[in-house]
Amino acid sequence: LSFFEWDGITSAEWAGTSNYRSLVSDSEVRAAFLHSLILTVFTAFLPVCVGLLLAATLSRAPVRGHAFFRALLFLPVVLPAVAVGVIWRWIYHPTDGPLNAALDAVGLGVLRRSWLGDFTWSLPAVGIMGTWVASGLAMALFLSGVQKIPPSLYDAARVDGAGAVREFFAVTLPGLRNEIVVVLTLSMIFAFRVFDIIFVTTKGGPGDSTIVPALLVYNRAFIYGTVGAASALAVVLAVVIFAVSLAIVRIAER
Amino acid sequence: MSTKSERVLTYVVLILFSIVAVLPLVGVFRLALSPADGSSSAIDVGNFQRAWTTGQFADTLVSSTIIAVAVTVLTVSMSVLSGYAFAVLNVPGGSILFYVVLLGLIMPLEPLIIPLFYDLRRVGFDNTYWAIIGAEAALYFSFGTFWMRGCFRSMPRSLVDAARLDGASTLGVLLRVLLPAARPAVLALSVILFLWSWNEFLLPLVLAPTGGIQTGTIGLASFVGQRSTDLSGLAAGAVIVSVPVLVVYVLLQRRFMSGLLSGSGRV
Repeated sequence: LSFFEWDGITSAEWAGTSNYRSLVSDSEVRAAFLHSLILTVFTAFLPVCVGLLLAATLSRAPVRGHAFFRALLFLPVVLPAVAVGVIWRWIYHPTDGPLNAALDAVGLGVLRRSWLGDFTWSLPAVGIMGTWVASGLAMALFLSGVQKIPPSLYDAARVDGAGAVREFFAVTLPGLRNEIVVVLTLSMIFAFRVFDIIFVTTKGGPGDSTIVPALLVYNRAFIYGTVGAASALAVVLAVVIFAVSLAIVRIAER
Repeated sequence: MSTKSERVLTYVVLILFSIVAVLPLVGVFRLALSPADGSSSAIDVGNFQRAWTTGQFADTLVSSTIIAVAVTVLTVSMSVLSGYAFAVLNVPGGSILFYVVLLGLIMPLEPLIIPLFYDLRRVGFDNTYWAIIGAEAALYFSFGTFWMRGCFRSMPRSLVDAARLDGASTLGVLLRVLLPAARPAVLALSVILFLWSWNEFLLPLVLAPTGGIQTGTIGLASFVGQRSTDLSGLAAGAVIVSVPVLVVYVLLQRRFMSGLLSGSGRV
């Protein structure tokens, strides 16, 4: 479909590579991919850090209520993304949202703003939602990874007198190498395909400050009826996702 | 082993992050129960009534349930069969076929959904349960196969051989020997698929555009579109959509977690 010009109703017209060529010069498309790249910081990098911290804390010493904490921390992962969007719309709400109220309460009222309606802050605001969801998943995968690290390594580290921090960097972190790669891959892909959370919060706005590739594909194919152009964009998106996952796996294997 | 200050730190970290994870939910729940005008602190169910009608949850939750249950049953049974074939039976060309299935695991949905929609529309399948159920089952099938293959592979081969010697058929080995042993993994897979299907948004949005069949997530999204300022009503809507997955999660949490933790390790 990506080589045709088609509105979805009348007969399609061969367009050659023109759909692809117009993508290159499309500033909206470039913005969308740039936003995805920025979002990876929030959905990939931060969750890996938080997940590592939580997994390390949960697995180090026997913790009372281990399963309870695990269940609570994983909770955001199982919620429908649409519901997550609604929850955070409320948190970020300019007048009635608890975030602004909290800022007022601690005397930082000057910082209050309409988080999702702000050209600079809407993208990080959306990103934080991604962090909230993805951290629990990262934690769960890391926990399963920690179980595979031979206990003898920990014993050896303790005999050598390593503290909690040393132990983490010397044993846990290298042992979780594979899991980190898996989480990074999953969450990078997530950042490039994110759709539903944006759809119910900002719809890409204000302006196109939170536009992402998947939302553009949807808009162009099913709202504006430019099916061919949308397909071309979708193919590019798929190629990018493949390339990103391949790159992470390659780097990790070195 | 660990010192007292370390123990304290452990709990501080865990409690802090648990609060961050749960507080937004609790807040939304409270908001949903408070009157829309915020006049008093009395508990009020008006938000839920309003959300129930605007989000058409009476219909959408039924659709969501039908779809999620059908997708779960269909995908689990297909995955068990194919996982069995890949892991135990030495099908000729099995490894090549497995790579084809794996391709489905990394293939993003977006490029597929446009042709999928127009193909389904051409054969008159748009706006039907079959379209959504079929598409979701196909989408999750790769993951399910991967999951069940890993599970069956981790089982001792002697189990299969012994059953064979006792004269069990190919299907008999699966049904009477492997499947009972794989119950935790099957349960975890079922929970995952149910949650995914319930939470799926793009597929039902695109495949049922005229609103004949709407799922709970779509109902909530259209509620957002119609009355974006009704914060407490929206909160009630979010609670309504989330409660079923929360119930499934809380009820099966322990077994789901242990299945997840061991299952993902067998890749």
